[in-house]
Amino acid sequence: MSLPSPSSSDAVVAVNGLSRHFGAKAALQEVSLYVPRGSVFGLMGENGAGKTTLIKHLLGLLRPEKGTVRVFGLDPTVDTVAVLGRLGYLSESRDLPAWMRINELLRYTAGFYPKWDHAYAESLRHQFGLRPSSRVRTLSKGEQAKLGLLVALAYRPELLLLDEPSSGLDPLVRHDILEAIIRAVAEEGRTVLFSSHLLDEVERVSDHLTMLHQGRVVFSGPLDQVKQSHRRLIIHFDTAQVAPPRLEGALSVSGGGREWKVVCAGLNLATAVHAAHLGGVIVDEQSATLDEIFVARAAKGAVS
Amino acid sequence: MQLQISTSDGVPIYQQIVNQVRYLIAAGRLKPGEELPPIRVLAEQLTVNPNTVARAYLELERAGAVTKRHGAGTYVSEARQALPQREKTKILARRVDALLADARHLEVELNELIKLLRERDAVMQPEVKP
Amino acid sequence: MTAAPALRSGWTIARSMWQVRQPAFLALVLAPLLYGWFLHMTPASVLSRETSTTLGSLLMGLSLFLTFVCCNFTENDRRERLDGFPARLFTLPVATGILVAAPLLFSALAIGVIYVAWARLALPATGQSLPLAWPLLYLITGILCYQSAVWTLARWRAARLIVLGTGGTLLAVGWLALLPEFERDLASSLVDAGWPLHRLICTTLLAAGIGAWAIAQVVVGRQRRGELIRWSELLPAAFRRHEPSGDAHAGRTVLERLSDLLARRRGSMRTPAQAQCWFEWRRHGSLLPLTTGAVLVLIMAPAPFSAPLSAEITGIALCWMIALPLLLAFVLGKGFGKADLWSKEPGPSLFHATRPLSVSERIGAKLKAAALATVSTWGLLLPATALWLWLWCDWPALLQQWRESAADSPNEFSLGSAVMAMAILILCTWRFLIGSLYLGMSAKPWLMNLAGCGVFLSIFAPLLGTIPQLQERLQSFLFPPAWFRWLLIGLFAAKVGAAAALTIYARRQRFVKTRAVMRYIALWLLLTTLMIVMVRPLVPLEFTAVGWNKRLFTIFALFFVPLLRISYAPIALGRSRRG
Repeated sequence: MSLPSPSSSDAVVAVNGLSRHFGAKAALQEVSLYVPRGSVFGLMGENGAGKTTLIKHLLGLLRPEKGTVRVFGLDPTVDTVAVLGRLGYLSESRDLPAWMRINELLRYTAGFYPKWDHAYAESLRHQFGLRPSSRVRTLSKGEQAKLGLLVALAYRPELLLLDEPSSGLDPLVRHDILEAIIRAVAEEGRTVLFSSHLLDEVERVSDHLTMLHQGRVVFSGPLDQVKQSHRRLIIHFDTAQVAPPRLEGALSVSGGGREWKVVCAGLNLATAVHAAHLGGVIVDEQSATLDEIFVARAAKGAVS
Repeated sequence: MQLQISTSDGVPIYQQIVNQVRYLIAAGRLKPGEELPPIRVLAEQLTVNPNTVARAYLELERAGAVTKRHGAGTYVSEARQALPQREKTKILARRVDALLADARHLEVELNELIKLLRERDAVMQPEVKP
Repeated sequence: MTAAPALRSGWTIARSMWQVRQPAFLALVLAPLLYGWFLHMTPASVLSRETSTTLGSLLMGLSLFLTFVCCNFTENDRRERLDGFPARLFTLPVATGILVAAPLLFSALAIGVIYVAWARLALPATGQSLPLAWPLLYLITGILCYQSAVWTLARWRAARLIVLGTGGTLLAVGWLALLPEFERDLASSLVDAGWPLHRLICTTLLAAGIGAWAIAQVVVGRQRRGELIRWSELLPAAFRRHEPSGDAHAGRTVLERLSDLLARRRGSMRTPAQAQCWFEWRRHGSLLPLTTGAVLVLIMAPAPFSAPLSAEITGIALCWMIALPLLLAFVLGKGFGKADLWSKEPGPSLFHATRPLSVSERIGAKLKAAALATVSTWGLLLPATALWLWLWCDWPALLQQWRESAADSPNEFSLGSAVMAMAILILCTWRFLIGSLYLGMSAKPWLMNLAGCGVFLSIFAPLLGTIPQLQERLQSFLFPPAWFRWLLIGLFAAKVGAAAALTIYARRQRFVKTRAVMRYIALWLLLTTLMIVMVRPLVPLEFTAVGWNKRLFTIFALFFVPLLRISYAPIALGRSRRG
């Protein structure tokens, strides 16, 4: 299931049929997605699903083998400077120059962006509790993440690309970072694309959600649509089932004995009929949590 | 205004906000005429998408629980609008189901349960203002 | 801990050292045998005694150097970002003494075996007989000090680099002091005074070796217990960093304030080009004046104690001082194109790669930083040299010699020609810095390693001049044939053509803008014209007598400013960024 593609003026990022191999391994296969302006776009996927590769394509650091990538309507590998000047990026490994001091780093980065807002950067720095004279290498992991976010936010970019912004951080720092991102989103017209494993965050903050599995798009759409269309059923069988029952339309089946939990992507009517065939009845039906959707999709790898 | 958002509830986040605001109004912790926090502030506080908060506020306005004054914020409605009966029963039905399941598990009779309800209501009486 | 398990653990560690570099060690041990066999097989007419002696010494020196490199018993600790004693061994139930002793003994054994192999198996074929006792002591002390320095200074990479560099140089030439000829010729005064020089040096070496072992033991023990030595403990209180009491005033040490002053930009950087130029200067460019200054201090240090220096020594020292920036620029230039010289990764970090900076701006920033480095280095060198000359050298004698030479050939020894020669040297420094930009920009480690080998070989190349057969061939170069000139012109035309083709390709791939290309072409034209104008009057008359006339030198001047390599640089950078 995927969004009907919006017109190119709406989509800040338009990826169409992107494929990329690294040697024999297919990192991305026929990936298409459109990020509407002003939305918060969540990217889910297990490690190695291709999230970072996709983001690198958006930055112009990788050239697509097949398909096209357009950011702000421009090709990032050709108009690199124009694209990079309008987006802010926070990499998974932060990668800030370890030898610089914070005030040096801010002065250095400010030179690249004419729209750098010094007052805003200063207020962010104060809020994050970063001392201007400390060297980046002496900062803790959380402080480095906050600094990276500060550097990406200070010039108010139109698009924010965040690769696992909260990975490896304690809850306090995670809260600070999320807060800063939401504040940025609340301002007009800013678009955020972020990839994360922390499904709790993804669910709270995203408007749209895409899941990648083994380089393919498993589903892509508005968050509530995704959640509504994935149902979690609890089926109670008359007789204890020895093996997991194979039900039509089921993405994953787990449980034991007489009660089994089934996650399916819509089509629960067919599932109910099939279950009745096998002697089971649906006792509970709810929209599945993102966690269950992720596990069901990642394990099975069905393409919808 | 303290709200608790849980993502494992199965209930959409905006719906949770709506439900909790309504409960706060019903319990008297939000007075009529009191201002609700702006969308941005609440979004930052709860760390949820501002659109979700906006949607919740819209729902509340549609249900009549709050009124939006043009450019001046969102306020709790003066007259407490009655929720449709169906809504009320739906909200309470889940709680009752959980309560009954617990009672059954603990082998407490229905009569005893009703007696307990009456006792607890009596204790709670002074808190809920008429 | 009983002896047997301790020995076993030590044996395991040593064996792991061997296994890690097994092919290298095997090659090093087999090399002298192969060389001995090779000498045995070739008849004496092909290879004269001198040649084989030189070659043998060269190869022995090389293999000893490689043994040092291979016995580097360290591991990279990613979290602490240092290359030190392998931290994973600390968790083994083995005493620190064994942990330290095993690699040290292995290294000592390795260097001993290799030296003995060369001294007794390979070189005797040419009739050289090398002593065993004191070279072994010298080499073993050297390798112990080397290992100890590597482990002790693991946290301070800059200091370690300096110490290893100085130590390495000392090691390479210090053995001359132990030769009997040295005692006879140069230190005769000391020997006459009754000082047993040889014995003194050997005792010092022994003490140094034991001291190095002890230091290694202590330092590795401290590292194991997590007691890290901090700078601040060693310095007096005034230099220590104060913990800031509040947010308002962050305490800074005196050194930090100084370094801030040196590379500080008070104002904001307005354009990307300015910002990147600051970065390049801070990270790469400032290295040249700093290292030049450091070595200059080392050269000038003995002067106050033996003033006034004779004209001869002054002359030699002056030559070295003038050559210093060129040598350093040559070495530094190989890595100048890297996105960050100090990082281990060949390519730019994600932070640098995602700055909105075009390829031409990146290259432009490097060119400007190189120019800044050149100007500051020479701006430091010339006044310092002048001061040194005036204070501690016998400059009236030098001036007299100059006047005498000027009387003979006024053209070549005039003030103007001196100024022009200086200008050519300055240009040469800049040229060395930027000539190999494409190496660092390509982000290909094998290419950079190849260049490193090239540098290494070029240092040893002049030694080839001692081989008599080659000397005859070199003589013939003094009389170039008539067509040589046309060959050079043809090469130049080919170079221009290739550069144009590369530039057109780069334009089509949108790596460079036409304006940047035009700017560099203008720069090239200006500098080449300058070179040609300056070279012509400087060609000495003796050269023209042997056929190297001014025209040839003019054509050589055309090749001076890099064109082809610079036109390849944007392609190397663009392709490495695009993945």
